Amino acid sequence: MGEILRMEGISKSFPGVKALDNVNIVVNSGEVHALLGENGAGKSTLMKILNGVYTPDEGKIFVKGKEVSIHNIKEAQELGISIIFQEFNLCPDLTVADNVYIGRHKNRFGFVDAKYVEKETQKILDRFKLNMIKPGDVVMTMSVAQMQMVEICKAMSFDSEVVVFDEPTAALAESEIEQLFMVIKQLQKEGKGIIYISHRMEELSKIADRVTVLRDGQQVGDSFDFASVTLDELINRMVGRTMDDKYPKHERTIGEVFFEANHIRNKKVNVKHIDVRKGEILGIAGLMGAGRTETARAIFGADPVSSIEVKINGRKVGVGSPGQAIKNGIAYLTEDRKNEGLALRLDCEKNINMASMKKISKYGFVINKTAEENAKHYVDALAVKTPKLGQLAQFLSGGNQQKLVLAKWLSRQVDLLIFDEPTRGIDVGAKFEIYKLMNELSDQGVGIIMISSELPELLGMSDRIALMHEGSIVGEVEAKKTTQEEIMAYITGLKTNETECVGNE
Amino acid sequence: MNNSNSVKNKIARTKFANFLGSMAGLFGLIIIFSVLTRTFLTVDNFISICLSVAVYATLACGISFVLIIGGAELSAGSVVGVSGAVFCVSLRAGIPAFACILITLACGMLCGLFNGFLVTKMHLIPFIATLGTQYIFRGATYIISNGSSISVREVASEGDLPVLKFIGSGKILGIPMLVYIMVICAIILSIVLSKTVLGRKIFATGSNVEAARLSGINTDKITTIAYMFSGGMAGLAGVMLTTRLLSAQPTAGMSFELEGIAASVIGGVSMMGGQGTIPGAVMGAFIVGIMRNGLNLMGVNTFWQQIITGVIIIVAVWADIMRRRREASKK
Repeated sequence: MGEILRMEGISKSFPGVKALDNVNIVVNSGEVHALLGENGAGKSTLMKILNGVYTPDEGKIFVKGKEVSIHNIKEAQELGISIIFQEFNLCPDLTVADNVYIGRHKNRFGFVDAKYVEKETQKILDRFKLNMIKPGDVVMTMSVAQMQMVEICKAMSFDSEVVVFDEPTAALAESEIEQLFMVIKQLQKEGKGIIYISHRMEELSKIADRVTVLRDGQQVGDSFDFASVTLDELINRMVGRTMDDKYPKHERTIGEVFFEANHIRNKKVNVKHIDVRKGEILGIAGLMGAGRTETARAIFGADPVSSIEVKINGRKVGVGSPGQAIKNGIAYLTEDRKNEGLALRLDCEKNINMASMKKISKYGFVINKTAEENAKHYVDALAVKTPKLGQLAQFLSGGNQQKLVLAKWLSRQVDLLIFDEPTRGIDVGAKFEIYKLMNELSDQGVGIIMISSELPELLGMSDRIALMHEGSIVGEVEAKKTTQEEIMAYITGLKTNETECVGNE
Repeated sequence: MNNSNSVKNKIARTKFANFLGSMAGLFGLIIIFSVLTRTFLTVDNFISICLSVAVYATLACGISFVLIIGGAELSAGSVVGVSGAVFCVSLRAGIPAFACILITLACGMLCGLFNGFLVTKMHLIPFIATLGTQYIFRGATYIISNGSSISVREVASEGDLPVLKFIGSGKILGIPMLVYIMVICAIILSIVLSKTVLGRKIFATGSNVEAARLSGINTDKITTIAYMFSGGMAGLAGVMLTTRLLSAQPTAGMSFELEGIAASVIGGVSMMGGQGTIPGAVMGAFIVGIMRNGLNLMGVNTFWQQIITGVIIIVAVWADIMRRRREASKK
């Protein structure tokens, strides 16, 4: 195993912050090198140095033993360094082949040689056994997982030697993750060096060879073999404090069933029945496309349905629109905070008060003082880290943005909170805080539905877990009495238990 | 408490900085023209600028609502035309002038309602929807007016004519009535936008439609209301123009929507939605008006004036983008 990439003594300061302080990383051929750290630990700064967005203040970069200086992404690509970011750089209207060879189309007498490009793309797809993707497919029609594969193909078309994955599994379901790992293993076999950034500890154990941990811009010890530490030790190194558990221990007092929804039907879902008790967390497990989000959105009145019946405390209520659902005490925290949860260009105060207009106004006029006090109350209560209430939401970190959305709903005294992937893309420390908040809410008797793709999170937080497969609920399990394996069996369709469906009539 | 006060000041300061930018541009122009020409800095000239700007500024206030909601408004000029025609036709029918004004405003709002319907219920892109209605409303203007201009002198009753003349060209304390109307409307709209729940919902919708909808805001309704505000203001602008000229031309208000959009954008209203103020839009209208007036006094021909207007739009928006970038990097 030869060395492909060496970053030596890298330091980088921004006004007022030392973002990186003497970081050393060596990536060998055929190695998956995990880069761990909380948000703000310096991972992305390091990667931006690697692809030339930032120049380091100190330190050297060697590619295959030769010292290089990288000034822009193009130079990085030419040196064989590719980064697969969380947000893809693809043109949705173009085909796979056009995206892979974008900007580098082969000319033939001034005309694009489409055949060559398609042939080359097909070669790369074959190499990774990605037979469900065709070079002529239009990217817009593909799933997130498939788009990611296109990004990887694009990286391969540059003959990249080092491939960096930035949170590659954040938007993937379990089965899609397997596919991704197969592709990564193929890269390993071809002797590429892989840097893998992720917040999900569990998946690292399947794939990582070596680990480097960053905390507040500093490297925590040298890089080490992944097998030499336990997950708990790893988390300790990341957060620098002992966390007795990733999920706060909590005894819940669960009340009566207060919420039920029956016959939820539209194009994507067909759910007979679902119910939530007071102070309970009901998890919903399922693969991507199983209809979890669609079910939640139907309950919240966000999408049209062909039939639905919602009862709160035994009384039938209408959920024809989000406005109506909110009036009936239902709130929904979307999985896509940035596009659906927050108005990024508005400030914290306006975002928090967005659903509480009545509370902050009189005769249709907003009372500024009330609005600010209300916002401040929730900023303090949830410990949202923001320099001022007038800070635009776009400048907050992922965890604080999530708290902002939560603040919006807490400001309206809701009875049922639906969390859709509440901790996606949020660092370990902030996750723990969100979990604690969920526990506090359940103490107050709020019923919670939590959709999550992370099985440990479902097991750690829920009381019951409803299992979805292809638009229906195929079973229900007690979180304490089940295993990840059992859940997987249900949601992949291997096992169904219609008779034990969530409160089957 | 101290803390919340400083928070409040900071919010006020950032909003104020936005406003100051346009203000600086405005005063810059005034100083330049005052130095370059003798006739610019006179009361008479100032009043004539106000008068020339009044209709555009009124229009710009309404258009700002639509831009802030994230829409587009290309039909406003045609609404001005159709309103003028409706106004004169209802005068001809013997309806009292005051009622005619209300009818015309209602007609403008109806046009806005139609735009809102096309955008929210038929899901047309706002640009296309209002491009279409620009032609529809202009055509309606020709049909209603039978393709020729209608003189207010001929259609208004003897009692109403002096009143209409007063609205169009009368003055109180030396300031034209039309300017008062514009200022009052701007104040009302500004209050609606910055102090009411409706205003908040408009900003929320313009900033992120989906987030606003999922927060329980009826975004279709809010969007339609924004278009109705724009239509209503265009209707009022139609009345203002008709009383000023004492006739309704079938071509009245042509390309006024572009003047209105230019004024809004120069005044800091974002075409992306979610940002902007009414005072800013009014100021934008004044910047264009003062520039045109000053260049006229300097004897610069109108061809060059067009080019300079274009440059101002681009510079104003560019300055705004640069300011925002700096803010973002400061964080």
